[in-house]
Amino acid sequence: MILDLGDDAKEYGRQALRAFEAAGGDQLVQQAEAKPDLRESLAGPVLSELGAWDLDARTDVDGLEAAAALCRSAGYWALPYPVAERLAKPTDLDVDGLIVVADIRPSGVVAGLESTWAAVSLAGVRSRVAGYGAAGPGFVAEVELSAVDDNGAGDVALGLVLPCWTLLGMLDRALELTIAHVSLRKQFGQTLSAFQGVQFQLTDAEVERSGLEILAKYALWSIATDRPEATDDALALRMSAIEAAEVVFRVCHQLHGAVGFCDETTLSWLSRYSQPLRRLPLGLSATRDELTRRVGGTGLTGLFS
Amino acid sequence: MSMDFEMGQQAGDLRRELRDLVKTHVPEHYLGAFTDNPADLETAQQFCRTLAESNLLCLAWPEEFGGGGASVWEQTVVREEMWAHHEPRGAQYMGVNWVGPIIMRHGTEEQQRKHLPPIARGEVIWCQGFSEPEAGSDLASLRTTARRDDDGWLVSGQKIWTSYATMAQWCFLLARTSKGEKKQQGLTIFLVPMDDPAIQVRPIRAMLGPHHLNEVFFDDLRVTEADVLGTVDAGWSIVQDVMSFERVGIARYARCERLLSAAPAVLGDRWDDLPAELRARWVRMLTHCRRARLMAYRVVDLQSSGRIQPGDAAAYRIAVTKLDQDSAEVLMDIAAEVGHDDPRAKWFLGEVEDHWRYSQASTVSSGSIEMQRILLSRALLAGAK
Amino acid sequence: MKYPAESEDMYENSPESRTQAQFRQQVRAWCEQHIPPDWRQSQTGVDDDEFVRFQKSWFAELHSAGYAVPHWPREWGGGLSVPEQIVLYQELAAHDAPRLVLAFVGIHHAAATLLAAGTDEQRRRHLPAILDGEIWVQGFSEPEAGSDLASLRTSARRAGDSYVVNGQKLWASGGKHADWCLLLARTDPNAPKRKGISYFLLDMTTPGVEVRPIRNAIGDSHFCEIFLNDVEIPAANLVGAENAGWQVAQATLGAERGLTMLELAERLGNAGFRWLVQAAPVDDPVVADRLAQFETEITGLRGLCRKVVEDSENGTVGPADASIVKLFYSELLQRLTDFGAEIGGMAAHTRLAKPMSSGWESGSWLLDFIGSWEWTIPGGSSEIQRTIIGERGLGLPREPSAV
Repeated sequence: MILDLGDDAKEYGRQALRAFEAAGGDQLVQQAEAKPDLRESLAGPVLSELGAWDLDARTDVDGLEAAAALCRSAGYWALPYPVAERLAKPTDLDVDGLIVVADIRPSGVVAGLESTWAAVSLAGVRSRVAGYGAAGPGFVAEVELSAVDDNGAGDVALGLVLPCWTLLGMLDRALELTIAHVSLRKQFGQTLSAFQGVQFQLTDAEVERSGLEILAKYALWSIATDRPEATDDALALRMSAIEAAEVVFRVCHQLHGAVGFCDETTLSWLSRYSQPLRRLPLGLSATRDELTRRVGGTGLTGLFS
Repeated sequence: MSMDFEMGQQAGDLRRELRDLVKTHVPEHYLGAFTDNPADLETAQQFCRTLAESNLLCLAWPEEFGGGGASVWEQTVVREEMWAHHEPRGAQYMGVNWVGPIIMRHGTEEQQRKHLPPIARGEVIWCQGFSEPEAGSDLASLRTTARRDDDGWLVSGQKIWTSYATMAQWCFLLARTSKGEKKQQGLTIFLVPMDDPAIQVRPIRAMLGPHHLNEVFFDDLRVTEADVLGTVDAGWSIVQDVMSFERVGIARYARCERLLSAAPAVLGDRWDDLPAELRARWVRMLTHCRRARLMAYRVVDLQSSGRIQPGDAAAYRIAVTKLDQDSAEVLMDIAAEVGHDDPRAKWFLGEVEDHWRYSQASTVSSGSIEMQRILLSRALLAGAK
Repeated sequence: MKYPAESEDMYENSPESRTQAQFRQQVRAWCEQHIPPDWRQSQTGVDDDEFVRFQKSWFAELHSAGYAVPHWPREWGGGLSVPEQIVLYQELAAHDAPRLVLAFVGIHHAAATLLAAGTDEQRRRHLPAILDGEIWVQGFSEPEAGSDLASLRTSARRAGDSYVVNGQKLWASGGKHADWCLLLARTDPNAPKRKGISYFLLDMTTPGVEVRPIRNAIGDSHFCEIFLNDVEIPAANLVGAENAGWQVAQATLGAERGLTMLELAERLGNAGFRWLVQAAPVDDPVVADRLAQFETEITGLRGLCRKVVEDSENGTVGPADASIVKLFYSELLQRLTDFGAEIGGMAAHTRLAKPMSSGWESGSWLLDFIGSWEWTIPGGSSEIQRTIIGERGLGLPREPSAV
């Protein structure tokens, strides 16, 4: 039983954290929001330098671990670039990345980039992204699709799991910021951290974050070992990730107070940019419904399945 | 890939072996040893002897003390299979899980010779004399006193919530021998026989059923130096050691998962007709089972590699406690859909009802959930500095 | 879009008297004639000036019918009984009337303070002016004084016939358009903190007052910082005795007596819930189930709000009742709007702009979801600040700015 990413992957993740910080850190997403056309030039160079596009998350299990670590680091800094989606690209199509899309109004965080994209539905129907709707908030755009084939069943799991690692990175950071905030902010003559009501909210958030982390590792391993239930595991991960994000951000906002809504506060940016990850391709209910439909009476693999 | 969520061949074999043993020696619809039916208790006693004979009772113990020197993963399998099947070891799990190991760590040779073999043979039941009416979470404020008398002490006081006190032969007793500067100083552990006339046990009727909760009264119980575990007045460090053994604790997730997994077969054809929302909640619970189980494995891993920090187990404990209660609610809602005439269904209803009642206690038994939250928040805030 | 008025059957709590029923008919008729049609559309994305104009015009409209300050004493322009006020808010909500956002602090907090602790002179000066459109802002919170308001640091030093005030206020909503400010400042730094605070009426045109909008998305700014640099306030503008300001502030903070909650709950149940039902795929059994549950909860909330108002009137309200209602409301609101965002799909996320005069039920579920947070943050003003929250964006980044 080995419950951690390999040392190389972990080291790569740490390097990525430092590289993103050096490239601008929290400023990156703010600059990108002000000028969305810039996001390619803001994030592209540092990702290239990290060798992100040399990672093979599909056929190399070490590459898969490194990809997950990279996504987590990107999430930590709310990097304004679809790293997970790029890393999920299929091996057999000539595209730069892959987005998992809903059947109705397919959309992705792909606005304003030069890359080419494939899209896959949960049923495994693959298309190329042939056109884009207007760019909306969060760099989300509706996409026009031209059908390619029905062979995408094997692409779905990775397309769902890697963005969950990005979201995990966001939760890491949100909690870190909040712990720092309550340790500094004083009211009634004490730091907020002295109040048990505050402490217990932190524990609620940490239980979710910590649980998400181990589930994310499991889902990654499920893909790496080619388990037939990998897509179910990916959906289960996504469902848990969205629930965890809801709890963590709720707590973090609550404990930040009003200041957590201000642009000056990093939490506000993280929280906003977590939304596309939490809503696309499907939100919580729809994800849960899809998973329920798929697993039927068999459920998930476990001790008694 | 470096990661590996498989427990390995040996653990897998052990799991199968244990399931076979349970199938052979434990009645199919066993709901544990602590019912009104004395035969259930007898089943547990017998099962312990059976396990002992296959060297499976104290699997986790070092070989020198009669154990199998099993890996932490095999120990985990035992915890899971035993709890999932309603703990057919009855009350003996306490002796196996921590009383024995603590005596190994802190006991004299004489104490080890006296106490360890009976535990290993499946012949003795221990109870834990810790909690008192005025000392629950704040254990160190206990009042049971051992006052010096000739070459020993006389112990007087009262313990409460003492599980299995009516059937235990020995008690792992915490009492105050002197007053220190801090309340954690001056406490001592005594190993005392329950058949002493100075000890009186009074059962407490509870919704958990018989045997689980008792009061134990000590009226000038005579104890000697030989009964002291470790050093006089330094018992608190042993208490902390006990806590560390029980970090992972009962594998609650295993029973939750077993019951949840059994539900579709009980409903049969009707499963797909259940309201979609109920089936969605069922799937969500399975995900939470997986989450709790993996969090448990992480604690086991950290502990066995010596990397565990305070607070590491707490997140798991909080998650698994919540799972116990949340899964009970979902199971009750599923049970409401079950047809009452099906004999197979009747078993399921009994299990679910039993699980629901016990889950109510999860947040206070083995330490209150608030203590886990305090531990976790301390760890989180310490990290901020 | 016009909504059909609800029938009396909806109000299960107690059968209405004939006079009440007549009043309800009267209000309904007025609503049908006076509520600007399509105001939601025409007020979406408007600039500040238009927002102010619309708000003032709507206030004047309500006032001319006697509906703007029903909770005021009769001699000052109010005088509707509590049951009548309940009916009024229910019908305004049922007809999806615009909300009084700009006038809120004036008609509730300022009026309550002046009536409870002001001098006759102050009441005569300001109450009619409020009815004429005088806008107020609340200057309480500071950077270091949020939940712990009593630790505020803005100072007021007596100098002859005035006080010289220095300091900074935060989260002053509506600060940009305010004519007057309810100000808390410290007059005795040596006294225990609650005993050294005084309550002032501040003319926002006084030299030394600087209002800085807190940066936000669309350009208009409801949250403001107010900087006070040697601002002179005449002693006649003190409300209550010097150093007795904390007690006076309790009147301000306790101003609503549940009617605001009731109005919000009615709006939630009317426009809010109706929109949700319209937008939802009700043939999905899970969705239908959730909607039914929400309907039950909203009905419960509305009954609860009504009970709190009635109990307040009878003097039988419990000390925690209003808090319980607020808590119930905020939790329900979060779940409701989260659900709305969930089923609204990506459309809910791209529709960022919302009408400035709307309530939580803006139709932009994501902004409402964002805004629903405001209720759970302690120290948040009871004034509806969701447009601010929405603009500052919890859930979605804003439209790219010109930077």
